[in-house]
Amino acid sequence: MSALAYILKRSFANTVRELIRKPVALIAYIIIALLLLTSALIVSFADNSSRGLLDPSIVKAIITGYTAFIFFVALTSSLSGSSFFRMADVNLLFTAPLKAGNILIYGFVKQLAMNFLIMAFLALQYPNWKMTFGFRDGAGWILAVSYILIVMVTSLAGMLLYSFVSKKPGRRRTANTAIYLLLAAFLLPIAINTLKTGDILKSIVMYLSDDILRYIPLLGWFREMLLGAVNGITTGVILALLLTLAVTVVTLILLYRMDTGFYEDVPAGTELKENMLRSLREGKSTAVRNRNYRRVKFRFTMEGSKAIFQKQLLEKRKTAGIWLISARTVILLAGSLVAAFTAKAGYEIILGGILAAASYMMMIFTMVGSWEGELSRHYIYLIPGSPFGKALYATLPEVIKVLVEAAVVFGITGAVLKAPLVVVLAVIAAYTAIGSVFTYSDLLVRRAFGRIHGKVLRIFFRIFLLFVIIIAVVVPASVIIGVTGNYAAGFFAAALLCMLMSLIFMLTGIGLFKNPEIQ
Amino acid sequence: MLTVQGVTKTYGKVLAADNVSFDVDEGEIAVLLGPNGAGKSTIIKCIAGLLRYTGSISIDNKPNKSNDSKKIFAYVPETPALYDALTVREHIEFIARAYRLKNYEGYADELLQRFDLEDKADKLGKELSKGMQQKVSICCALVIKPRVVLFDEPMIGLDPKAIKELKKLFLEMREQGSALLISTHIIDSIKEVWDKVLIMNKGRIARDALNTGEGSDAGIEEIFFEVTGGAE
Repeated sequence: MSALAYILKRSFANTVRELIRKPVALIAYIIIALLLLTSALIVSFADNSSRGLLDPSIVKAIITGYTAFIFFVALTSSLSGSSFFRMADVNLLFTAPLKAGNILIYGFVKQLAMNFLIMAFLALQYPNWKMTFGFRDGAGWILAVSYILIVMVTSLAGMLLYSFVSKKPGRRRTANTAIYLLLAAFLLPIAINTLKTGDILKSIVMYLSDDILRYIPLLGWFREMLLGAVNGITTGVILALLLTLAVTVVTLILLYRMDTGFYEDVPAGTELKENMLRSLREGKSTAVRNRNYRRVKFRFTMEGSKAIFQKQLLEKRKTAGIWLISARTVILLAGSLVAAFTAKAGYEIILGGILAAASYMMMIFTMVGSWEGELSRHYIYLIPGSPFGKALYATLPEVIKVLVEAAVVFGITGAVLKAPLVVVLAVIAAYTAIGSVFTYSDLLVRRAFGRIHGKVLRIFFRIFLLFVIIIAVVVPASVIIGVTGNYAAGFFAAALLCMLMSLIFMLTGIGLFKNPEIQ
Repeated sequence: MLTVQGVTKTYGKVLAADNVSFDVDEGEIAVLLGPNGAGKSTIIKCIAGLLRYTGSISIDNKPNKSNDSKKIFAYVPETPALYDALTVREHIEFIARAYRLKNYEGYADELLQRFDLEDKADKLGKELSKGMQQKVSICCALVIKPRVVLFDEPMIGLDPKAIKELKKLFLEMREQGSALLISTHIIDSIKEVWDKVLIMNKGRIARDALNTGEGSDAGIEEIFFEVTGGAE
């Protein structure tokens, strides 16, 4: 075990040393730590007597929905083999005379360390969630412990499940079918209720907030633990925590002692993980598994830097759906339509609300752009052309992708709401401009902090940006709407201000193409 | 054709290239030889404009980062960097368009044929073996008919036939007046083709020598071990 502890110790020490060598990144991390501290102080001094903005049953439904989602994702992804090892671990540790169980614990510790970073990001969102969901005092600790336990148990259970299904051909398909059947069974009551009441939103909330769901093993326990943040530490929370802990320990012992075959599957799973990490570095989706590229007939017609733009469109045609429509667009559209059919407010308020929610989602879920892939290859730097042109054409497909998403989501929702065309166009412009702010701020972050730290700091910078957008864009736009009563003018003003911000970010991040540092 | 003057590059406190100066003339094949970590790739990347450095580098009397010089030089990296979703032919077409090439198709076909890639033209980048990817990378660099070519360990991963073909291409390009800079740590790989050798060690050009004909190949080996202290 000492050899494994040595790797962990040295990896940590080297990471810290590396950070000290990069003062800009170090300062950024210190600022984030200060922000975390400030948010903790705000929360502790805030008025805790007030309730959240949402109805308790909606809060319950959201937490159940979230739990079900991560549970389902964990189960399906484990079927394809997941590994928390890197190739260096496979090559050096798996061939060394070390106990397999100890290697497992080592991998596990690494996995937990990774999750602390995610927790830091979540902690920054905490004041916002506390206000929305009405979290109680000490909810942060309940959420942190629950999160760690959920990560641990889903990882371990996933490993056990994989070692079972990988033993015989056909088991994977059976397990996959079983998981989808379970999901269908879980969601069936919503469909039945909707048929009875005709109100899908009400049916969803009613079902997902039902206390009977707490009895579903693991899923119900996760939900109960997370609800502790709203309801306080009840007997139910303690029981759920103990049961989850028991399952974690039992699974760990099983994996440690039994010949699960997991170690035989690790190299393949790790290779997959390395591919996924490579894809992330290159700004692609992590869904590299079994990726099939569509064969398309294509001729380049653009020249110079524009060829980069056309090449990216070609790549997107081969990977994305029709007209750059992604799964996120479909989810956004579905959510927007539900809002359009159920919300009782004017079209301006509904479209504005969707714009805010979609922008928030974009901030969280759009982690990388395809331009990142260009930066890791030499072609873009060698091609004759101006750095501005290269920056523009390398990032333009991302902006177009957001524009297409905006056109689909707001175009259809606006039509359903019978909103005037000018308002719909203004919202489309605003959403596209907000997307370009995120794209070009990523460029700046990458330039300031480099590839590795830039990835980590990007999301924190985006949270900071959200505040900037609220102050520098939302407030002026609201004033325009308040004074003129013209929503289209307000949305167009927001778009204009965001475009200006994007331009500033682009011009400051352009050095990436002018003076690269490719190691 | 290629002039490197007083180029220094540091990574933190590590001096990777220390006041390096040399030039490569038209129709000359210069070889950067040195043990692992000598600074060969660093110098090549500085010339290609992929790293920040101090000193000056010019290609055909123009700064290496200017568009005029970019139009006439090509770079073959040590590790091929292809696009997963692009086919071999799409890679070549992309480069041709990006460099605004006219009537390149015939030469592109010739390169594909010489590197046995004709039947792989519709294969995706991700479907190719590392050696195949290296061949595509070479084709992408050469399709622009560069007057200066930077090769960073170009033979790694290539099969013997491709190595032979590449050496033939080196000689043809020299005949046509191109300046070639080839970095390698394998002495045998550049025998028969080199005109000038620049032996690097610890970030500096420790010795240079010209090919004077018979016995020169054996001579480099001796100089190499003398300079590097048998580091290889």
